[in-house]
Amino acid sequence: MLFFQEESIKCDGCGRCQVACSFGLMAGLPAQDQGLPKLRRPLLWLDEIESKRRISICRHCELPLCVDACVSGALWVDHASGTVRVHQNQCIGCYSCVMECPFGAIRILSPLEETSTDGVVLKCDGCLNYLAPLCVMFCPKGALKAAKGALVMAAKRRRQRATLVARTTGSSGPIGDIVKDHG
Amino acid sequence: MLRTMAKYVIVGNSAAGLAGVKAIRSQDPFGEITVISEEKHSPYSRVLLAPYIAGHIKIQDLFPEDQDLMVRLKVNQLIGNRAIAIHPAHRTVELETGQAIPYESLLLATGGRPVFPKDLLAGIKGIAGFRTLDDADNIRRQAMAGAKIAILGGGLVGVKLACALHEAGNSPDMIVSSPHLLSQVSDDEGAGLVQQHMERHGIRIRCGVEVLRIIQDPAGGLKSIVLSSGEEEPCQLLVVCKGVRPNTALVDRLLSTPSGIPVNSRMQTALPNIYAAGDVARTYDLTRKESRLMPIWPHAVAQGRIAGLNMAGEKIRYRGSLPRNALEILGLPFISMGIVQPPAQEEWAVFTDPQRNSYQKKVYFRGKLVGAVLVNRVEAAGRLQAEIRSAAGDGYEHDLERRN
Repeated sequence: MLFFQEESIKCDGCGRCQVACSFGLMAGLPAQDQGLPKLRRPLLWLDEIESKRRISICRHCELPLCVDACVSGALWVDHASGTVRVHQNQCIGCYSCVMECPFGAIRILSPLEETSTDGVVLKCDGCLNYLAPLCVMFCPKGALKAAKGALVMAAKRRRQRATLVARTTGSSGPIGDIVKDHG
Repeated sequence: MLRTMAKYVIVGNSAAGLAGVKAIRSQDPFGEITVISEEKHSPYSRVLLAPYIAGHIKIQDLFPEDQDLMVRLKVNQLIGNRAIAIHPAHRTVELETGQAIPYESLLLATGGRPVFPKDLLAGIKGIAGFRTLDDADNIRRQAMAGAKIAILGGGLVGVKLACALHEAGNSPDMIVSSPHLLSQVSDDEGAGLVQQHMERHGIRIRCGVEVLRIIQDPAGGLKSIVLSSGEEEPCQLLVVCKGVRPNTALVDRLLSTPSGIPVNSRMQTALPNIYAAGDVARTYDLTRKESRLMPIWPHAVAQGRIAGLNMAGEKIRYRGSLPRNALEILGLPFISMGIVQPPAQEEWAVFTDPQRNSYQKKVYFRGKLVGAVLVNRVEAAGRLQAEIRSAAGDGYEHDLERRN
């Protein structure tokens, strides 16, 4: 499983992760599609939240709310690589996933914007062609971390989830509308 | 001793019913699952009907599951069969054919049906609702034949249908009785942007107008409609999009169901071993702090799953519903959640950020976020939803207290 951890205290919002992401997306493309003018849109964002720049990046959740919300079957969980992925040609651009993702990690290209070679829906693809995600490799502050491998995951993910839940909800229990009842 | 095989019966074959089936099968590989459905189609996505009319997707893409899912999950399908009564004493569901289907636990996922104003009776040729695949096929066929179409109602369904018809090359008229579009899910400023955008594309929208009566041609078809503004509009098809009413007929005799079947956090109704989920179930609204109907697709899926898990013996609770809608209106994104039009009282605070072509509004109650409207700048939607949910906590805590 791929897993991201973002330590916002360390992040100073330099944006190198975005640059690395943009360039990384060109790998493997034919030569005429490479180079600065053909730079692709990054699949992670820096957003101003409570007057601090924060990284919005997909966490490749185990039970992703975006996949639950997807009405056209475009978003799916790739269990082999442990990532949440998109079938671009199936997306109808309904914004349901944008509304659900608590990390703000999915964007949809509005047809009102200029057309581009990018897909309809933009989200982290997990850099599966690389040894580690490029944003992590290029972060000078070590604010982003990633881990691969199913076994490391379980424990780490549980811990991350617990801190996240504590931070965003001030209570225990998963985000979303389901609660496991121990009563 | 081995337990005999459990018998699960599910009435309804859409979002909640299908989610229920999958949840039951995930816990109980052997139980006998029977699905009773009035509609003759395999489960399809109602959300995709508008893109289907618009011509963005093909009919085979309406079915989110592959056709043999029900076979793989070993489900007895009684499709094209209507359930007409429940006998809790005998634990059976009675079908129109007279057959009685025994159950050990029963899920009512019967959904809703479009509301028709009393004086515009349904069934007249040329007046239709927009809910099922058959409705969509009918509208699509008429749109292709070049019929003049009017849409009554300016809610989400009406707006979606108007945009879909526009994209299909038909130019519909919208007749809205409220002073602005999307009056249930937006304030006038956000809706104003949407309306301008739609009008720029050539969709005619009239607000604050009712349909007084309809005029039929000699063949019995629809010829025109007379509006409260005095105008007479030619119209061959009038699509009524005035919301949905829950299909509670099965339990009306057994329960009081003023607006939907009330359920607890496990989706149980007051009747033993009978669960309800989806558009027919009345659940707790996290922002309004009351139980009501919130017929939207994601609620149906979540509730169906929870009902199914509980029917199969798990103990899973629902936290409560957060009414929310995301919409793409001819390229313009629109997202609305929770309470968007608060009363003018001291405890409520509203922050708006209107720009030339975008709009954001946040509604706070006693310092906690309870609602938002976002138009054309929607990246923050997911985070805002997480914030609303975390501020609201668990809607069914009172359920727990009662049990302890």
